[in-house]
Amino acid sequence: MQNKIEILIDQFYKGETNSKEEELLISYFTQAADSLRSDTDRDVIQTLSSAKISVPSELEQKMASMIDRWEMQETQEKMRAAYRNKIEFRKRIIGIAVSVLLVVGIGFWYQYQSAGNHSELKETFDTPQESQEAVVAALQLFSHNFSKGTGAMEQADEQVDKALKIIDQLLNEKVANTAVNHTLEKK
Amino acid sequence: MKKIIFTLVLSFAATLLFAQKNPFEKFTDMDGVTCVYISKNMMSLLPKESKTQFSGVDVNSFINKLSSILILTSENSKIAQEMMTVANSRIKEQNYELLMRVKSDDGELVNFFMKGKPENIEELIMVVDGSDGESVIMQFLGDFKLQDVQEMTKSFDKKK
Repeated sequence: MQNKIEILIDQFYKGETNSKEEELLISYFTQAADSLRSDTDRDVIQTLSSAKISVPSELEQKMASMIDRWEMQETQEKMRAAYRNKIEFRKRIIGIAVSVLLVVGIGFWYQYQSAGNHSELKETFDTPQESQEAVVAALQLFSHNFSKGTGAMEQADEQVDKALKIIDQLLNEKVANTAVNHTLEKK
Repeated sequence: MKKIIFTLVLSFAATLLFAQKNPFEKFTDMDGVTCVYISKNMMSLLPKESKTQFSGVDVNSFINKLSSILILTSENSKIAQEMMTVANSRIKEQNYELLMRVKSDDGELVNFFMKGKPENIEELIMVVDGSDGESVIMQFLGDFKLQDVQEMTKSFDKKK
């Protein structure tokens, strides 16, 4: 019995006793005057056991409302996350669908355009001989006009060359005259 | 959202690129305009064995580099003027480069435009704005050099 009381006292200080065990301890200390432990243990156990913890009357209500609020917030957060995921998923699906549509549309459009390009310009002549005459005539006309421009440029080049030669000649004559004059002045 | 916008912009740009057609096709069906179109297939059928086939001028090397020739002429001064206006605006829009401008004594104005670089010309256009109201647009498509054009014109000059 005494060993059991010792164990219970230790458990009491560790906070491991239940209400029945605490009642057993209290009855032990009230009945047994010569206790195994010191009076301090008796006082502590009796004081703690007799102390009534006053619980505020609104505590339960407050705690309940707080728990409800937390639960609501958690639920709302979950709903928001689910909504966000849903929107993201829809965006991705729309993006993929738009891309596929664009690629397919451009492909069809390009094929249509390519077909149209070929159909608009039709061969003018049916035989190579007729085409040959047209090609030669076209190239002759082109060459005639092109030569006009290049010919004019060549003429301009020649004129510039002539002008430069005249300028060089005049400069040389001037330099020679100046040299002669200097020689005469020295003499 | 950014990806979607980017895809849309890219697709639109690609669409615009694909949408570029021959700017002079518009005139082919126009009343009062004579159109001559010679395709690469037809040019490949032209006889190549003799220079005499080309009036004694060797233009084979130049023709081999062409993919098409389009010639548009109009003697109707009103239509010719409209053709010139549309052609000039198209040339400006599509960034053709002016190669040469020749103005004759008789008031004839000839413009040469090219697309590409002198060593890699994709398109060469001659626009003749005649003083008598006649206009000619000549378009050469292919892949050739400016030097090829010069050699071809020299061949014709020598023949004179």
